[in-house]
Amino acid sequence: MACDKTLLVHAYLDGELDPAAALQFDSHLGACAECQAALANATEIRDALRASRRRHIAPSNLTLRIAAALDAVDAETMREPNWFARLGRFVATRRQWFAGAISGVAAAAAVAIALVVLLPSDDDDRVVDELANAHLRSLMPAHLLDVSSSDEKTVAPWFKAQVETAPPVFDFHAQGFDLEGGRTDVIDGRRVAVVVYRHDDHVVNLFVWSDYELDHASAAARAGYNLFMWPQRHLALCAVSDISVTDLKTLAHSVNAGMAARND
Amino acid sequence: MDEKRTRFEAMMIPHLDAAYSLARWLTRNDTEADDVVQDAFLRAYRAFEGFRGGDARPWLFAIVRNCHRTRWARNRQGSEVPLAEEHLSESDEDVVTAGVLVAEGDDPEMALIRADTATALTGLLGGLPVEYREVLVLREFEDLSYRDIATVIGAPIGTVMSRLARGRALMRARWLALTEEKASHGVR
Repeated sequence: MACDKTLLVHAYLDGELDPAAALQFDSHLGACAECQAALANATEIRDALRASRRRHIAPSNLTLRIAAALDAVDAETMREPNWFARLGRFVATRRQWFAGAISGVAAAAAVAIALVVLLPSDDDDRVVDELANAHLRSLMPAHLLDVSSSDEKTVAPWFKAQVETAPPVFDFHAQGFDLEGGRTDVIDGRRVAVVVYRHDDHVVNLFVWSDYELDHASAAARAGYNLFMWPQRHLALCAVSDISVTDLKTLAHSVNAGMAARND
Repeated sequence: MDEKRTRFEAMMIPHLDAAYSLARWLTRNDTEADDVVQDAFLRAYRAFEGFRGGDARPWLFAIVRNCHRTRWARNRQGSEVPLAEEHLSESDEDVVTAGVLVAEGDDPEMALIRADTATALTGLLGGLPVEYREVLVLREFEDLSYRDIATVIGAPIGTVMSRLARGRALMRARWLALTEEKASHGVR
């Protein structure tokens, strides 16, 4: 004489029945010896288990291990190449050339795309080289600044007159990055705004594009200089200096926070 | 990026012990539990954008469980984890009993019996097939609702209920067998 309600004993015991169903089951219990026995057994083992509840405590070094693993993920996402995005960017900057190639000989285009897939980083590498050179060039006498001022209200309007999209101009004195001024430069055949900071005694050039597609942050090193590139809103930015990447990231975070606060 | 990290740590690190405890119950091995939890936190971090808020514990538990299953499936060809009765070793020093083992007012003899019972019961639980072990641990030790358990094991609530029923029945049967065995050997 198997009662089809014995499973409900557990939901009843665990307080998982809604009040109406619980009441209903109450009255069923009064009449069903099988469910009464099942409830008694289930309660007994439940109580015994709860009384012997054993929870294990994580060893103290596990937190550190996890933190290190998360650090690795953070670093990885900074470096992770996104081939499709790079390919898209490559094609976008050479759209006319591609259009010609495709309308000309489809096979040639296929070969060209295959080459692009195989050699996508050359394009970025060249830009990185150019940025490092531009940084070096800026350190030569009288090359660093077109406008010299630590006042955001002086530097920002100057940029407005020079380049289409205004770069974010902030004085991050509190974060250790003093605004020195700005200039314009040419990278990859394009005009680029450069906001200049000084960190201790080191010059930091912050290159800002509005028409350069960048999909992820990355760090690179050239000739003793560190570069940290990152996208923010509609802009691509690259900080170059002989300070550590960590310090460059501090500047990046300050810029992002400044832009977020100003909502541009 | 750092903002995500801060948010993640603020939400998930408080559940580290709970995650470890579940992993330890699933793997029944300290080193394995360490690795499973580290895996789980990595996966959770990568998937954090997909976390829709609410209670982080069942979400994290589900990831811990999946990590364990993945590793278990991978190691299966190699050395199979024995599913037979496996009692927790008595020198298990990092095992902490959160339940009241020694109630105030217990005389020493009574306390010993209670401690014995707890050790025997948790030993039996460790020997249960994992599908019953996990629901019992989540229910009795972690106090999860049926709905949350269903989230963790990725099964309907009906399955949670039937596994709990079967798990409790198994536990009871093995407990009775153990006490009978002890009685027949003249052990108190």
